[in-house]
Amino acid sequence: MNFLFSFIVLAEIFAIVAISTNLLMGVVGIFSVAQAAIMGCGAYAYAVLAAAGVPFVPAMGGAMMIAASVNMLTALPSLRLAGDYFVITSFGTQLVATAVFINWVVFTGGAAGLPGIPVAEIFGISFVTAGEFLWISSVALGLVALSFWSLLRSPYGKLLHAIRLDEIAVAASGRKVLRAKIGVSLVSGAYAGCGGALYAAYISFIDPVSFDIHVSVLVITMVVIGGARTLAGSILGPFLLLAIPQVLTLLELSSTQVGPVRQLIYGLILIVCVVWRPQGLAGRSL
Amino acid sequence: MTMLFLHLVVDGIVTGCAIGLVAATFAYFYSTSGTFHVAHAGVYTFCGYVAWYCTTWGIPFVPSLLIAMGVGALLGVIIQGLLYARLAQIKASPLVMLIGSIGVLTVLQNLAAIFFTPNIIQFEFPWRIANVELGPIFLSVPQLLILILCPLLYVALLLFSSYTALGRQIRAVASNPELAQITHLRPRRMFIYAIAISSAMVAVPGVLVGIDQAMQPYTSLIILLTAVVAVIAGGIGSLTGAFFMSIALSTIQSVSVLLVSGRWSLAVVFVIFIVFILVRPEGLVKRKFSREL
Amino acid sequence: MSYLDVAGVNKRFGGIAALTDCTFSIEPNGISCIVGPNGAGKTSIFNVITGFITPDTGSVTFKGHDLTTTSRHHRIESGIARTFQNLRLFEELSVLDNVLTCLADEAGNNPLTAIFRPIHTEAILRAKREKAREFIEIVGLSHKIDDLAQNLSYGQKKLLCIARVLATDAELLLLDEPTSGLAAAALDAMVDMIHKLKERGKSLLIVEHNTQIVRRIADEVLFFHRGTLLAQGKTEEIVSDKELGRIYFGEDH
Repeated sequence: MNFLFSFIVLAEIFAIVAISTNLLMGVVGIFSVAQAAIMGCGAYAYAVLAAAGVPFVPAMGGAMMIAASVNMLTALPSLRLAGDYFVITSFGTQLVATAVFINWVVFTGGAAGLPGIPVAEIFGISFVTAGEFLWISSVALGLVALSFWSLLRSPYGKLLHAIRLDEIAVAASGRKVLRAKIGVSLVSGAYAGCGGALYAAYISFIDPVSFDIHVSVLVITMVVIGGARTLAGSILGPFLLLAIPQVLTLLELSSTQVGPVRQLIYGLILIVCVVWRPQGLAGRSL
Repeated sequence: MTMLFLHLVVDGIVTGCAIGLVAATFAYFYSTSGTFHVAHAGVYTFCGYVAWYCTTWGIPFVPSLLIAMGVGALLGVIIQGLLYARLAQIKASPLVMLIGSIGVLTVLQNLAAIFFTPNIIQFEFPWRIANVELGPIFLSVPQLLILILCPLLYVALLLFSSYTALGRQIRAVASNPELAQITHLRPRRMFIYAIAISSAMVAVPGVLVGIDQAMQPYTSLIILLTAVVAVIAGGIGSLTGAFFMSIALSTIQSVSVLLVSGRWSLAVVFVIFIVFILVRPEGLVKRKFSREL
Repeated sequence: MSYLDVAGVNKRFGGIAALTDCTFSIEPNGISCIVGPNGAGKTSIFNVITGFITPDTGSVTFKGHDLTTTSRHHRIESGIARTFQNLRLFEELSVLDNVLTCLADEAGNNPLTAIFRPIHTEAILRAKREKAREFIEIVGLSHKIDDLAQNLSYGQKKLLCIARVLATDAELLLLDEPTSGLAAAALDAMVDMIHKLKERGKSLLIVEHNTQIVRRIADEVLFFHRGTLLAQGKTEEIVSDKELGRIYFGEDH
């Protein structure tokens, strides 16, 4: 039972990060391969704050704010420019963030990571086991999903769709495209930061590998297989993809092969989806 | 101090030549087809592993390198023919193309890890660590090979592009795909040639850097990042800009260890990139091919 | 000082001159048609007025305000909006949402409001829908309000473009070939629409190819040739000018 709860908690955390990516890539059409890095910023910020004695909820808020700022600042130089500059900024952000996680030892504990992150505690109740933490992750996912839904329903959401479809037409009708994009990168960053903080609080150990480019590719795969622009897609994707490692344990692979085989499957899923099923399982076409 | 500086500069130039060829070949395919071919890094890695595998069977260096180039060309053709052409046919957006390319990159890296080994490997050539003395500087034999072969191939690519009939046809497609279609240049075939040439060439730095340092399936993305920053800073579409900007970037990166720890050298490149897109987004050299971003 | 003043505008792309010393002005509440052969710089002058290209030299002044270096956003606030020759509709959005995103009102275009004040946002959304509906009714697309833009006929799409440009609340509307590609019935509807816009107090600057249509809608005509204004005057004078006719129909080659 604990195993199942643990799986659900992780899937819910990744669903939050997937929604963050979906908002950028699916809704506005801004490519991002740095969502794991942003998630990592949230996780490290939470770990440092929690270790300094900040309670769970404010620490989570701080983590979200830091992740949102990092996401916005790294995106800002290239938001004004089109397409390919953003791709490089995004790859660069991810790779540089990993370098920072490894090398800024004072805060991050370096490659060895940060162990012993304090347990989440709200109003004196601690959430230690997977079954207990499930409450927190479910409420967080619920809130993120609700805000995503109301965001897309609002006039701002329609504006974001319009930007994806034709940025020039949006500018021609007097909308401030840059401002809208900055807004969305803040929201998306905050979501990813929330996911990261939950991850840190739940696992109680983080290291650079938890937020490297493979994790970003995993999150993209979740969005692509789930389908763009729908909540159902972003929630379905993580549950499906996190089940793959569980299935792989049934095959008798050597320990060095497990990681590559898992990654290989993600890569194949990406290729198959873009060619044969761009709308994923429960979404719209990218 | 001056000796150290000189060594760092030479190191930077050597690495820059290798990255320069990655950048030039990336720019070549990008300006021809408009595809942001991230999987180029995967071809680079995979070819390195192919050459390594050949040498473990006792095949000498030169044939191993040629086999790796052949495999590279083949991989390129498969990627273009089976994925990019298909996506172009269904009018996929650049975003979807890019995701497909990331998929291929992931597949290639992990195939290398599964078929060969996920661990760090080294070539077993006895001459790998032999040094050549050129005045005050020492170069290892693999470094010397990089210094000779990569610029040579870059020049060959330039000459091919400007002076052969096929090269000119490919360039014509790059500057105007619609017109080329009308004049029966068959852009899709030109894309295949362009990716085959790029992929065969990128195998060379893939193998040589592998011999010089060591190989690991997942590190090539960092090289590609530097290369693509060079492509942008050098002016998209300019092969010369891409090649020399790679050398400049690598040299700066190499020398920067005098000021900041080598662990931050990737960040140095990224900062240069940010400065570039803020100050001069069109790059140093005006673009030759007019491909809209 | 006139209503809209374009003075001494030059623009070169590489070696090619798109606009050469282009100077003209128009008066409020009229329908001015820009005519001229292909490549005369008609769309380029639209791009200069609406800020899509910055001229190398020259200025654009609207109601006494120099707009030459201002943002596209600022020009719409000042009261100039445009349509595109290739429409640029949001094909995957509904007719209603196409108009809604173009409304002048910035209310609700903010992620924090949308997330933290959902009820307030819902009220804004309802108000905006109501407003958008009015514009859709003006162009007569009320029966298609929930259809996706991509499912409209070409004539309906062009009307939707008018509704979008109306939604910006601009007073000077620049329409790029509003009648091109339309069959007779849709064409008549568009001509009526243009007259209706004038009645609503809008000023119009229209790129138009068809001289028959120009006769039906224009108060004055601006004749462009090789990136510059060749003649400006009453419709009948320009349209019946033999010299201009020769240039227009390409007999000078």
